Amino acid sequence: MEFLFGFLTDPFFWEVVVSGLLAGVMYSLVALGFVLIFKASGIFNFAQGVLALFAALTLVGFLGGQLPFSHVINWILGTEWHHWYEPPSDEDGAPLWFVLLSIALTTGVMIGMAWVIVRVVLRPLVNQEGIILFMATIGLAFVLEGIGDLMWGANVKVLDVGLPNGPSDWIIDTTGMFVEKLEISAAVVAIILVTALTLFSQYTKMGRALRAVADDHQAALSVGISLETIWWIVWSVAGIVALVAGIMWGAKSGVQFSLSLIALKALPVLMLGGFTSIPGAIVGGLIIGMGEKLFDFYIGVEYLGGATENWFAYVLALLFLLFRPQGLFGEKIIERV
Amino acid sequence: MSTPEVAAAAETDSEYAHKEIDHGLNPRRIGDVIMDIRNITMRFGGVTAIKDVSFDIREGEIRAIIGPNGAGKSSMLNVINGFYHPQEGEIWFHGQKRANLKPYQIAKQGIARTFQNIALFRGMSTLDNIMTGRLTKMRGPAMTWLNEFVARTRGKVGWADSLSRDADVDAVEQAMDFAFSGDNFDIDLTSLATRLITWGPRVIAGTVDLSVEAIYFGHAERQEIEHREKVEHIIDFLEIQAIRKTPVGRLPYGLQKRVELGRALAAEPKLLLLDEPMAGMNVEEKQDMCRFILDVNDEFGTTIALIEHDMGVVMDIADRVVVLDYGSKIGDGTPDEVRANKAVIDAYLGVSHD
Repeated sequence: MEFLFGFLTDPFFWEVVVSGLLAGVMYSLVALGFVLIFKASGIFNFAQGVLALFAALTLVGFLGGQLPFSHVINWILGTEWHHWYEPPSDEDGAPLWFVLLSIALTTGVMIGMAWVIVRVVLRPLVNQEGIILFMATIGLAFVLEGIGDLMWGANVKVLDVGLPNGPSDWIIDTTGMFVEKLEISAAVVAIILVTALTLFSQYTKMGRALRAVADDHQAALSVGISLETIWWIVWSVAGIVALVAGIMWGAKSGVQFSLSLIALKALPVLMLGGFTSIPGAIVGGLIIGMGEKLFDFYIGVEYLGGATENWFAYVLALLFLLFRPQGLFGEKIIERV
Repeated sequence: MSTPEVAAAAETDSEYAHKEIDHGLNPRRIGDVIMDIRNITMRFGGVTAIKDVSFDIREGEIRAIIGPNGAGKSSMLNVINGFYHPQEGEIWFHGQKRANLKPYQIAKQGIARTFQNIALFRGMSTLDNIMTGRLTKMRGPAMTWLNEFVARTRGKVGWADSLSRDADVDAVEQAMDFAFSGDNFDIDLTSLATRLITWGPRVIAGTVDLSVEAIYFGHAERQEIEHREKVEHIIDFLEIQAIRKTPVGRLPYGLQKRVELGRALAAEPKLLLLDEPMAGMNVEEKQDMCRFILDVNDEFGTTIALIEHDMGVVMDIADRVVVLDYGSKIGDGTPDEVRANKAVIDAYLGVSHD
């Protein structure tokens, strides 16, 4: 008994748990975007990670007054333009109104992009197999990455939207644990986002329309639902979720092109939580985040030479696929023969 | 309806004069033509599924479309509900020629349908499935206000009239189509302005409603309760109370057909299209379905167009019958007329070749 429960009083254990949970929230934010699109259009959107990258790049661009496509423009015109306005700043960086304005503009860009995606990518592929749509999103990922590069340049950028930084003194004082303020704000944002999205998709007429479209296109059309409008709304919401994820990850580790790879970590999260469940994306993220930290701390470092965080999530997902393929919260697959 | 006044009124009605009286007590009232289908031709590549077919559907009647396999019956239904757009011909609905609308726009105009091979939302419960039928009736506060405004000012203010133009055409869709019609580069400024007036306020109203729903929860809830009441009425009517919460994927075939009928009814359609509502059913289920179809027609006065293979059923419940064979119309009239039609008998029984 002493051996089993001894670690419950160990402050290190709790620190690992908390930091794992908070890292999990960051995974969940990305996974959420996948779930939204999968639920509403049955498409597994490979471009979700790139969407987050693109959103973060655009936000940095607006915050810095950077001229989009400046390389192309300068190359054609032989000019040396890089900025199109001087961003306002006071002693602690950009003022709040300017940050909010930039976020609003970026949201607008994401909504506009959702429209273009529906129009150019999805509409010609109505009634095609899921795998074809999936491949289209792979193509989309590369195109977006290229456009992002062309628009804003490939260098690593600092994203400062005024989120609190560094460890929280209050938590160190009261519990002795070392917790990043940024991760706490990520958790708060995630909670708000998930609550809003769950209410929206469960209790509004739009939510029912979303589920209907995901279930059967023909039937949805016959009851008066416009597929394209629904898809536009869904991709817009996914774009906004990507923006939130982009802000959080960008503030944590800078806006760089490896950001699009965080999408890969969302895969095991989805396998755990289920592809069709919003709460599942959150719980899956928390389990993966906490699991990989604990595993690394107690087993990985001592017996396996460390760095188990890179593969632990995938092994866990594999086990889930064996025993519960629909995930923890996924819809049970009903098949009448 | 059995009062002497009503009976007397019906007597004078010329339409009623040649109508068969069902039970003597409950005369069904057949009105004007609500849908006129004119010279429809529908080709798929080299195959002509429908050849120059014309017929009409009158308000309040049960109109059957029959014919051997491959006669073009389902294609006809798909043309009416907008899944197919015919190469030739016109469809007039409520005295107006209908443009090539998308299926969901046609659904908003009040045409609901069921499918030959059931198209339900399998993951949702019976209740949720029927609730989706109410979607066209659910409007947010901004859209309701806009519609009321349009109704109030119609005919009084010039620019407000263009607001109501194409009121059923989905605004966002229009905007999209317009922005991307690449083959037409000369932009007509007047049409651009009209389009802006037509869809601009609707896009704004739609966006406002969406935000209201997302932020102020009470509205969504109130709307839900209001529409739930109507849906419960339909559930009672179709006697499917017991399976209210069951996911429809688990239901037996006959009940799924009934839920699908319920979803179509929830839209309070002006025209209800039923594609083989009794296919694959046993005698008892068929009897139930027949009763529901007749009751729907009777109680709600819904106009029904249906495809059915069971001749006995068709001759019993239909007011008028269209017969298709190899895509062409070979007969049209009351069941008795059709039964006596030589071409129809030949199509069904075959012609001897001597």
